Amino acid sequence: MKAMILLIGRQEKSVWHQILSESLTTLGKLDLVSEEELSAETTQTDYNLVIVDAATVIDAENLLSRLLIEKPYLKIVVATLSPTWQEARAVLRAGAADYLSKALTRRELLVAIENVLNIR
Amino acid sequence: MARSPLILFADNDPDFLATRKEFLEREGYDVAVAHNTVEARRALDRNDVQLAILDIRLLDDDDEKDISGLALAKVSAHQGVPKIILTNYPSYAAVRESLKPDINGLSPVVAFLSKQEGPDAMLAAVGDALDASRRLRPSLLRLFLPLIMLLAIVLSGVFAVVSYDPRWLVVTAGLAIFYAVSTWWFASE
Repeated sequence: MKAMILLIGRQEKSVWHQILSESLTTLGKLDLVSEEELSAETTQTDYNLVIVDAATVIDAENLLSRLLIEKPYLKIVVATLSPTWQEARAVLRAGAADYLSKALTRRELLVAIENVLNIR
Repeated sequence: MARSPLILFADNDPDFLATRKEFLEREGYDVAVAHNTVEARRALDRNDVQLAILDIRLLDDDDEKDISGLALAKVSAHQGVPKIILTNYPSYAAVRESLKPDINGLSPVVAFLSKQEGPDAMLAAVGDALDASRRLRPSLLRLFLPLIMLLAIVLSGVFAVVSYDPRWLVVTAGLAIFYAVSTWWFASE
């Protein structure tokens, strides 16, 4: 079964969005929404995975907590261009399923997302 | 008097280990130390450790590929012991390896600390980890105690009826009262 994946990022398509979209083609469908456009309706949709582009949201940790309050079992991955150990610790402690560098290759990205989708 | 929780502290830097051991002991914890993975594994195998603090580089501080402490944290035989990773060389990759949930949704460690964050941060992490671990234990008691109590009440009631012995009625009443009080106590906690 194809997974439903939501990317919270900039509305205009970025290069990374393009890479992500192409990398995840075999896994499922990728929807895109900006943080401002994130509505209750969006979060009520049964997405298998939400990817947060840390560069495009005000506070990734806070957004993560809000999403998990609404859906405690939602799998969320935070992606960033410049990963730091402090941010990694904060988002993983806040309940993220993974914290990824945008510098990952397509193959690495696919494996990481597949692993998250396989979490029970 | 209740015993202090036993903490295993594994680090290959003997000075750092001695300082932090003393600090934790002043705070009321019992501390067992390990200077390498063999000693740490042996201590964890004894099953009396309530929390383990593990340095990532237990073999060679200069080897950035040394993740022996983290590998030890992932040994499934010691999964029941909460672990804190402490390192002089924090990195995004190390945090990810430590805190990222596995296929069962469980992280190998409960906290990741840089040694530069100081002893107070370590103390706070130790307190949080032990509190979380204590909260888990009563939940098992909460699950099984009512069932065991109900079974005991039914059995003693049956004995009272079958044996016509009034002492069994007293036992049944006593168990019923204990059951009611313990249920109220757990609910009000």
